[in-house]
Amino acid sequence: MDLVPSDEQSGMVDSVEQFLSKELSVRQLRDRLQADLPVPASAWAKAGEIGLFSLGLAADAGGADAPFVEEVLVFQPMGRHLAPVGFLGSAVATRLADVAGMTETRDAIGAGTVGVAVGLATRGATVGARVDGTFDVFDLPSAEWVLLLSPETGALALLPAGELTDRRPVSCLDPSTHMTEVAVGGLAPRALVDGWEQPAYQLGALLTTAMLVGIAEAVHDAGVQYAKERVQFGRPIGVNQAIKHMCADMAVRCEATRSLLAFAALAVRDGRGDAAFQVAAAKRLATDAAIENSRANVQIHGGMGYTWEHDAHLYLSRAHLLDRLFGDVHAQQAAILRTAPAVP
Amino acid sequence: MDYEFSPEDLAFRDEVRTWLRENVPRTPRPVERSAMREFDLAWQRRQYEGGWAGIAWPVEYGGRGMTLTQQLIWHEEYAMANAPDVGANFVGLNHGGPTLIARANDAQKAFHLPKILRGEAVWCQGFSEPGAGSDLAGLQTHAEIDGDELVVTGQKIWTSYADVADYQELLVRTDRTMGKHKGITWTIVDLTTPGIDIRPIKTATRDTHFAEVFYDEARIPLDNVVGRLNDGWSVAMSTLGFERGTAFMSRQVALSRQVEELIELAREHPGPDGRRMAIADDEIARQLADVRAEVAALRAMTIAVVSRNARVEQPGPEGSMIKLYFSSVMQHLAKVAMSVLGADGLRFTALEEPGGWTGQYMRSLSASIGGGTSEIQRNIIGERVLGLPR
Repeated sequence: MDLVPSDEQSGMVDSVEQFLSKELSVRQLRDRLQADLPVPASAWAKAGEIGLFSLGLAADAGGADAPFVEEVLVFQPMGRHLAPVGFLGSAVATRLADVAGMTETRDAIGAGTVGVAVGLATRGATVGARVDGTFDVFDLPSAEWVLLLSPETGALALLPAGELTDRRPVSCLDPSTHMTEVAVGGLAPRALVDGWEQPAYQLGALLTTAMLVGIAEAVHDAGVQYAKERVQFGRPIGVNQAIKHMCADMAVRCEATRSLLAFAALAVRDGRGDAAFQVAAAKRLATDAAIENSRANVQIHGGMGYTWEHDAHLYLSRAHLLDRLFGDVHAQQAAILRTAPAVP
Repeated sequence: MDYEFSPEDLAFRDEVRTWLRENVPRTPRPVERSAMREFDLAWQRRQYEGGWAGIAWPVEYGGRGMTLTQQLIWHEEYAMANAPDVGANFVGLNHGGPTLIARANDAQKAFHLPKILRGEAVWCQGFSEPGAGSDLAGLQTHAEIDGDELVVTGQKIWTSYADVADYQELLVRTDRTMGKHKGITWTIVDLTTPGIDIRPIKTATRDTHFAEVFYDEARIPLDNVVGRLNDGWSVAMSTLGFERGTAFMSRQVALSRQVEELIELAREHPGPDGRRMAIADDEIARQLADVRAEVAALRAMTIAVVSRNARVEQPGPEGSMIKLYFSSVMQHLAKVAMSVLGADGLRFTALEEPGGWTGQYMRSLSASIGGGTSEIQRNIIGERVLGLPR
């Protein structure tokens, strides 16, 4: 029984951290934002190269046979660096393609030679043998495939992006993500899984939770750092309990959700009976942690934190986007009561 | 990372479960104080005879010397078996005893440790004072040295189980010329010593869980001093190394049971609209879901802290995070219980009664005060974990 990552696991996290700092830093994201550019194809390819999308696949399927636990570990830095939402789509889509026997697609997505957008069913849209209705799709401009999801039923469908032709770009609350409203009329998915308790859906919820935990941590670090540096009345603002206690609460939210995330990932990997409960609980609390920590970070930064130039708002709006994916807070609360924790 | 128990651990769990099933007292814990004391001591004796006393104590001092994983298993099974709260044995087993193990001389150890393990003596703490709560080092109860005795005068407060205790771990100021944290001495006090007056304090929960203790020239043998004179602060801090995140384990499992009980109650108790059950109310359902999730997080967090502490010599201040989170979850649960109860929330039920939710609600107020307030925990986290300036 051990919730501390092994040296090998920590090394994996470090290398992802290095990759993101070099290739997909928030500064580079700013430049893309400025020029209104989609996620560059090179970023997908490099992420694929280091195995971010195939980590959880079996070795004979081109993966590292390290499902769930290692995957949530590497998706935390992804949240920290505001890595593209589409990366979530790729990591889940490789599983879907694998189950459906679409080996070529699986390998292409896994290698990052093609990108995957994530589409969320809006009210009334259905995901099944036929896909109908309106979807909010994220990172569509740089994607060859789209992973559509229905949080209502837990259905996931994989379709070629080219088949989604009725597109209307939307200005997204999260300015670092391209959002497109897409109307779909009776398309047949290439791969489909159905139900919240499906491993692919649980994986999606876990990876989204991991990104939320990464956000909670990133803004915690930024807020604490600023509380040490910013001087008013001749002293760093962090001497004041109003600020100090805000930082302590942020730290507790990080600790609680990081631990629960690890626990939930282990539960899914080991097929424990209460895995669905643990995942729902983790996503519920991680959403709160990411949003509340992001808000606290804005507050600690004062006027600076409210500016467009400062990154604080990017984290907050990304947290709201991630809340919507794989079941929002209300859906998770319902899931928490529908399932139950196991007795020890 | 793993959440697997070795075959030895699983066998251990079986052994614990079987023993608890056969030995946990069937009768309810009495409310009357002296009967409560006897009940708690008898339960401790039973555990001693079964070989389960001092689970975290080193074997050389008569303890069980369990690994952290075994302690986790013990606490889980303990709570699942509905075993009694450690009650009057808490200070002896978890604070006084470990301090003696760390710092006492051989004679002190030989006399006191077996009594604690066998359930022959109740210990209480003597730290807080009316003027020294969060600011413990500001304590003013003082002792003059007269021959081979300390002559103690002053007052302690919030002393749990003082009314039924035999011994006290007392912090007194023995030198007023030294700095605040210096000049303090840690001593064992026999509570039958003349000049000691114990007055129970009634709490908002309507019990007399703790007391004030007055000292009027009470004479304590110098032989009772643990560690050196004027070095009591470091003696008092020595138990910090003993606490590795395990302190809240059984209370946390007990908390998870209570959440499940409350969810059950909400399924059969009328809700705010008077027509449907409480759980059909959206707001109540959400709060129940949240507190269920929070208890799960608390459990995962405890396992994480225990995993980390298992690898280090001296555990860090992260235990403060568990204490802070535990307090907030406990208070959240109690507030949700009041929502579920609705009008029945006005019917006071003591903690010990079945469904004692209103007693629990009042009790939960103390969660963020006792054992270091939540504000102090936040200071500790801010300064010692995050490195914010003081």
